[in-house]
Amino acid sequence: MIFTVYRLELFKMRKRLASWVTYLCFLTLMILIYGVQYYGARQSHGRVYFGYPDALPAVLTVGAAVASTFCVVLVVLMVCNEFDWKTSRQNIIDGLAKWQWLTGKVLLMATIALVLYLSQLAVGGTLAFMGTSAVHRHAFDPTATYVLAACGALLGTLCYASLALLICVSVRSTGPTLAIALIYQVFDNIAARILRGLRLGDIADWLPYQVLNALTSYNQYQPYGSAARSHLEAHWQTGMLFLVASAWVAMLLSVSYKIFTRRDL
Amino acid sequence: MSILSVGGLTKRYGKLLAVDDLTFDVHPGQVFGFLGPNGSGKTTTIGMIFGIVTPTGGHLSLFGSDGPHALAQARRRVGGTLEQPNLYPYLTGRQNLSLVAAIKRLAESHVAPALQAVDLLSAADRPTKGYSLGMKQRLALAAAMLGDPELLIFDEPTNGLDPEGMQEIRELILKLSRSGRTIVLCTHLLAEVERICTHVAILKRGRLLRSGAVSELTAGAPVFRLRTDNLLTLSEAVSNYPQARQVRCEDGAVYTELLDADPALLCKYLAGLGIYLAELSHPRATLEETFLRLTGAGGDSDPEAVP
Repeated sequence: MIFTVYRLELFKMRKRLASWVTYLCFLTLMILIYGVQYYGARQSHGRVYFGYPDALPAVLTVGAAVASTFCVVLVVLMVCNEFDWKTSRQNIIDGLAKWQWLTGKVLLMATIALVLYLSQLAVGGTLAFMGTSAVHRHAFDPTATYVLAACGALLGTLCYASLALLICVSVRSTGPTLAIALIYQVFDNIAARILRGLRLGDIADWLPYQVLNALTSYNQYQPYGSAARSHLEAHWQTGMLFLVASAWVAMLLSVSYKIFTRRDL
Repeated sequence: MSILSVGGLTKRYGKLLAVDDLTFDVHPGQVFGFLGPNGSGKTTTIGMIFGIVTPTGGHLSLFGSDGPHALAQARRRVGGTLEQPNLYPYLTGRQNLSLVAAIKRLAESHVAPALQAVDLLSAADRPTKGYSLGMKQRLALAAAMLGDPELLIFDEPTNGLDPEGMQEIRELILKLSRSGRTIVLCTHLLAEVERICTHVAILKRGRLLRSGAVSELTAGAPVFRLRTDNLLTLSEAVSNYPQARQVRCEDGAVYTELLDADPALLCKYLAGLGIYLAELSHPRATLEETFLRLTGAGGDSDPEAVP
């Protein structure tokens, strides 16, 4: 049944004009972000290089924060409208269990995150390919670093999207939910600054949006690029980030599930 | 065995008691009208039956099943709508029904006959945001009927419709009831209930005032209609009759309730005063009269609830 629910969620998203408009906006922004780098490199007469392998870190992480924001917008559009139109209620009346309904949304959320990230890779990757010169300037990083960066960017997006899902099932109205979910970025940054000012930087680093920021920073995955004193410490820091992001996703989804199943529709 | 059994069902929102100790049964083949003014707790009760509102207390059983898991299974045999038609506006009528069919684990082949049944086949491939309210209601009915559920529950299915639209929906529900299906119809339109329903429950402020067969409820009022040449004299004479209550002149006749329910004694009394009646009848009260009597005609008085 879950596969059917997932198929229905994809069908609903595919048929919705607002989804396509949001996706086209995202693609345009990605073309602008990577296009600026590509043309900047072309105009620099060799001083700046945007091509493989140097561009890979940027391709993997630069657009990820934007992708996470668009993921949140799409999740809010696909979840909150179900409350506005009361179709969530009708789905339950028609025979869907509440957990099945929410699982469908979680799977949709993961799909949106993946599609947006792959689109980012496609746009950035194509422009980087176009800018690649015959002679590579630097050696490739180890493949594991790229894979880790890609997984980190995706996990960060899922973390923020899970928070958006929690706001969706709590607020249940598209406009306010979208506003709260987007303003949260500002709130999280301010809260982190305040905490750091109070010498609580260790706590500030684990706030959901700070975790996303850290996971979408390529330096995080490079032992020589992070502030760690040793390779082991750097890997430990990255591992902790993955752990915290996963814990946030699990916690936010569990709370969403509790709220959705306990509240009347 | 009753299809739907509700015992002491209660729903409280903070200090507000939306449904108060509700008890009733719906048996197979009945068209059960759920009647009450706005805010009487009808939709909340239906919501609890559908499982989208959690009761604060009481007992609910569907097809004899009453545990949480068994109830969830039993709800698969129930179809219906709550408040307005809940449709995806950007999807076509056909796509909306396909979604419902997939949720109900039915083949796509069920969709076209359902559209045909509500006469929406020609508009099936248009987005529902362009549908009239009547078309949306019909589509919601078609969605509810998919999979041929044994119990259909419709909440205000004619709300906001023009007389023609109301007639269409009424005909559709009547057709369903004739096919032997059990239907619970939730409405505040009394004429609708009187035309369609076999049984009725009347609610006010979350409390059940009366339930039973429509014929029983409307037969209950001991109102008599009297007519003679001189209405004024008749009205005065009846008002002075010790057993008469609620005397009123309407439509060229005098109406009164008789405490002893014996019109022969009243006739004898009037004849003693030289008043000879041209008509003495005991008309059936309409459901509207019964409803207004029970609910206090919009006043603040709250008649004693009858289980």
